Amino acid sequence: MGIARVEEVEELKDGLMRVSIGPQHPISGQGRILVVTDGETVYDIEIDIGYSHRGIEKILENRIYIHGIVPLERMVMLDTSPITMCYVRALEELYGVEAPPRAQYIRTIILEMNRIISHTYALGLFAESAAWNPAIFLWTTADREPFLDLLEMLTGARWSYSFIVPGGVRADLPQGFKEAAFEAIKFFRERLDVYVDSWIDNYLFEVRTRNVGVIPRDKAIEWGAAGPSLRASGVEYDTRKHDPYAAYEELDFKIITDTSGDSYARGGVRVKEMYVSLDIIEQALENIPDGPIKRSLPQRAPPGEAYARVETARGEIGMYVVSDGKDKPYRVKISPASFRNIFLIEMLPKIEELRFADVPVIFYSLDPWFLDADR
Amino acid sequence: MSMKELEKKLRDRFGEGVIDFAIPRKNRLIIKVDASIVKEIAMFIKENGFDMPISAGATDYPKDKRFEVFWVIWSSIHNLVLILKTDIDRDNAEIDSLVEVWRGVQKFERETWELMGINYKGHPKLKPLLLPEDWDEGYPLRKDFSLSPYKV
Amino acid sequence: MYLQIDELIRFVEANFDIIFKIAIFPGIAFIFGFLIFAVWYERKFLARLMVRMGPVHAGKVMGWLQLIADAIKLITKEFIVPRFTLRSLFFLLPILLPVIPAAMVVLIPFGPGFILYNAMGNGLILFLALSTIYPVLNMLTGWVSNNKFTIIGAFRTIYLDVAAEIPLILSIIGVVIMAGTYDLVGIVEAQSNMWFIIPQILGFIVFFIGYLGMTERVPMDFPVAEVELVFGIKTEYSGPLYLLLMEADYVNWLAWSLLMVVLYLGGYNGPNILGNPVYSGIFWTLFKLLIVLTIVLIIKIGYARLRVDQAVRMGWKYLIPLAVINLVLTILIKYILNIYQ
Repeated sequence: MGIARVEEVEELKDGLMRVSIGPQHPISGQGRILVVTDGETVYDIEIDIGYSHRGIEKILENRIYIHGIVPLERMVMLDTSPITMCYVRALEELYGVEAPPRAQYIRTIILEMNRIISHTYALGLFAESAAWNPAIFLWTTADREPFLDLLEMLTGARWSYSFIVPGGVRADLPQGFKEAAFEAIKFFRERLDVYVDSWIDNYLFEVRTRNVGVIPRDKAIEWGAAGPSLRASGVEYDTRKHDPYAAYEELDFKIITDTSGDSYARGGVRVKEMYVSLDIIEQALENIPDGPIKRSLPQRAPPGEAYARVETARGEIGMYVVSDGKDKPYRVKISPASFRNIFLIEMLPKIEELRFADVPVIFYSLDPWFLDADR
Repeated sequence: MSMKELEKKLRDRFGEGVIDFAIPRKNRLIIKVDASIVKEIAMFIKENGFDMPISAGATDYPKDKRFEVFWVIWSSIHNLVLILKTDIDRDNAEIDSLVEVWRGVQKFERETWELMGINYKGHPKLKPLLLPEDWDEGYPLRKDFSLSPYKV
Repeated sequence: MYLQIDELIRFVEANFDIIFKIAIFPGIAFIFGFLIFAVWYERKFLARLMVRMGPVHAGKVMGWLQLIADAIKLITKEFIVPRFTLRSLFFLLPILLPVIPAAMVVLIPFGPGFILYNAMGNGLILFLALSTIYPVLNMLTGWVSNNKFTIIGAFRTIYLDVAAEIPLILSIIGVVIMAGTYDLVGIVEAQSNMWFIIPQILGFIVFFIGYLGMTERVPMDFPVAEVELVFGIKTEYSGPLYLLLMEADYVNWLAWSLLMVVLYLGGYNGPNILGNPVYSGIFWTLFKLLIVLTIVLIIKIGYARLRVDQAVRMGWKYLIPLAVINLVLTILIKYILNIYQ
């Protein structure tokens, strides 16, 4: 939020202006993009976040471990389970335990459903950023409903589940869940084909997004991109594969990558990832083992530290948890994916020519979430 | 290159500068170094394949009068997460910025500067990021920050 | 002085035809009625394509009162004028803007002999002359508002004009050569056997894209691109002034759509289904108009918005050569036909 101070804003050259996209703007969300432009060409971009900073790291230091899960979910309301999963993973590392296999499979199912929900939303916004009048956004919003219903059936909530807890999950799969899930997967696969047909393969959409906001492979690594933004630049990296958690080690899936690194590739990676997620859910439902779903843990974690990573829909979230043997964490450092991705757009005008109309396209191709970045 | 080799190379090159070298679990590496040579070590580590910054921050230990500053780096070659740590004095919280080594730590160092009050020397853009414009109540992530709404 | 009712009635009876045309159709009432219908139709039609309902509550049948309610809301709102604007132009332009497309509508023949003003047989030239004023005034609305978004929108209006209007006029010349007249009635009469969309298909493609540009419709609606420019040139307007700007937008859409019907889709030509040639001519004009509007709305759902530079490049690289090719072909065909006749 600090950029707003008048005395710190430097003078611009003749013919340039600084346009503030946000915090009150049709696309901005709870943040601000400051664009230096002459009307069409963009010379500089600055991201201004912090409008929804809640100090979640400090909040966690003052809550017992299990109570930390609820405030954590407020980071990304669309994608709550991977974030809690990351905290839980760090705690399980501290405790030195692993959840029972059945719990791991249930976790995988929730995580992948959350990924699909989040990706549909991201793609809807991405379509809107290329001025697809809300049509696609409304379609995707309607089509994620079956998965929301499934999650409600399983966890009792549509958005904030608080379902993944240290040592397992809160409840077992309800009756009829499997059949309903297979039905939803079948429905959603058909819808995805429709999206690919009508929109991803659409000529004008390609014209708008191809070669826009290209992040080369080396720059993506150097700047620390995360998730689909990183994989679209040709880096084959997915925490699910490289540092497996839940049941991912036992499931068969592949990492989706693209080499071009432009906005279109980032959108395409998301679409293909949804197909992969559907496959993963199917496999997990078919191979789910029987057994207990929860292991009880003491309230106090042993002293030590853990760095846990989990692949959220927006990319990898990392949590560094330090325990001093009490029932509350001593320090939690969260490095969310949006915080890493959102600043990529600041670097882009320095390496390529951008147009003013490209700013929203690139911004939403990175799928940023200001609340995620602010914490 | 195995991690043993890396450890040997590091110890040969920097001697006493490397305080600790630990592999707590699979895919993890913790290196604790001396604060004065953190930049050289970072350069050396980067040359050995640790190329992608994924986090950075600091932990406050008021009892020991120190900050533990850390950077978390992922290696696309070794598939390893490296936590590079160093201790600095709590009263004189200054450390070399590693922005020149890894471009991507800029935002994390900026955030830590704002919330923890650690001055990163050579950082190009130490401007407020998350807190309100008129914030003057100290550094929220330090342990002595008062959460009470009634300020003394 | 007092009003002589008898004289007034006599005057109205003597000039009923022209008064009806000015006041009801295709004059003031039609133009305002079109705004209400078009906004309602757009909302309802787009809503169906987006799997939602659209307005339902105000008005029993399909929310038809919603637009009236919206208009009342807009009219009763406060005039908000930002600081450092050119106040005189800020108020004048929204009043001036709808007048120009309305004057363009006046030139359109709706049925055989049913035309308000035929401009002494130069209707097309007057139409195009009026249409060139509109983007300039549109640009001015952005310029006087003293806002960065409106300024960028104003630049884009001019870019759009450059990209769309030149190929558009070039493609219209093909029709003029086919019909051999600038008179819109003459052009419609010339299509009594075959609509010009068939021999002029290349020209029609160019015209249609230019038409999307001139009416600021997707994929060329970047002057009001809401994702980056909030609402482009209209950002600072609210209340009654915004209503006038919206009116201007829709009347402009109406005028150009009618021109497309007249130039390419046979105008009022069609089977005499209502018994009276004038009435069925009006019916066919409005029916074709509705089809054109529907196609534009489907395009709005199905395509993304072009970028400014892409639109200008398309206009100069593809549309203008295509229009010239069309022109050459038209002249050749006309020449060959003349030889054989």
